[in-house]
Amino acid sequence: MPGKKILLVEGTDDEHVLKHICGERGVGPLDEIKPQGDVTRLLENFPVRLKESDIEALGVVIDADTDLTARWQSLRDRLVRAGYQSVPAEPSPAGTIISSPKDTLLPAVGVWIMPDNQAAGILEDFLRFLVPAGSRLFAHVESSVANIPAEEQRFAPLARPKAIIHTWLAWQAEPGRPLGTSITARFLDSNVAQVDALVRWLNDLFFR
Amino acid sequence: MLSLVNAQGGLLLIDEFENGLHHTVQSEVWNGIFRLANLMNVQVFATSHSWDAVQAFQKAAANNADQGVLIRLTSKESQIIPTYFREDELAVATRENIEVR
Repeated sequence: MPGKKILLVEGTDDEHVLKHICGERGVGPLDEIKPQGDVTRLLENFPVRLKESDIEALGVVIDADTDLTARWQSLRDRLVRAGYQSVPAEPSPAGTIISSPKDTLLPAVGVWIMPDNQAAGILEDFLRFLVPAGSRLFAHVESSVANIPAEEQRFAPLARPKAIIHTWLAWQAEPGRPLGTSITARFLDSNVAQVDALVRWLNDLFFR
Repeated sequence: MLSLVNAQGGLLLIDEFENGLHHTVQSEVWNGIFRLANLMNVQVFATSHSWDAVQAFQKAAANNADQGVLIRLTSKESQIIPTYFREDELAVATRENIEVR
């Protein structure tokens, strides 16, 4: 029986984006793309997922948020504790893949830290790569968000890319499509180098 | 339960814990086993392939700190490999429907 291929993500936005990227780019099928609720839950569930029966490959897509090194370290610690002996000190820019330790039941593990395994940020920073380069509309979106009067500024700095992407989607031919289906509708274009890298990581982890 | 009393100071082996037990009573039975095992100083090994039994065990184990562990035995290339789930890990597994069998 072939083992299970499972991808853990933080929330439903991540789930839908990943599902639509897999659909658009012909990755798959995976057994499950599972939203964990939030990063705390993901980190709590991760070590137990490593011990799930018949698991062949386990992927994690997680936001760097403000501190990429700390986020990587929190996953690295859990892997070392679970019995992975050769976990790199730093995440690979191409997405990290750690093979299954010999003579164990542990799965191959992949880690992708949004946006690009190198910078701080979140899913929506990654989605900015999917906006057509040089778009005048996008320049207008960015300047609108940048020019919100200070007394009306309601979101935290970390949420700025979220505000920008959702404004971009609000101004498309079909305003207000959710993140996932916006990829299928090509309001976000998945044929870009950054998606190529993510797709390569998914294929290397799950379908090598 | 009677066999538990008879096993005082020793071991009790239970094959297919859930046999004949409706899922609604299983965690109460586990609670009884934990209580009596403590009282009679018995170490209990129970086998099961039932998710209901695992869930019921988890509930009872959560009430009895550091007394229960789930061990899955997997055969791989003529070896048998054990995988341990502590109570806190078992709580995550049952909450998230992570297969431990």
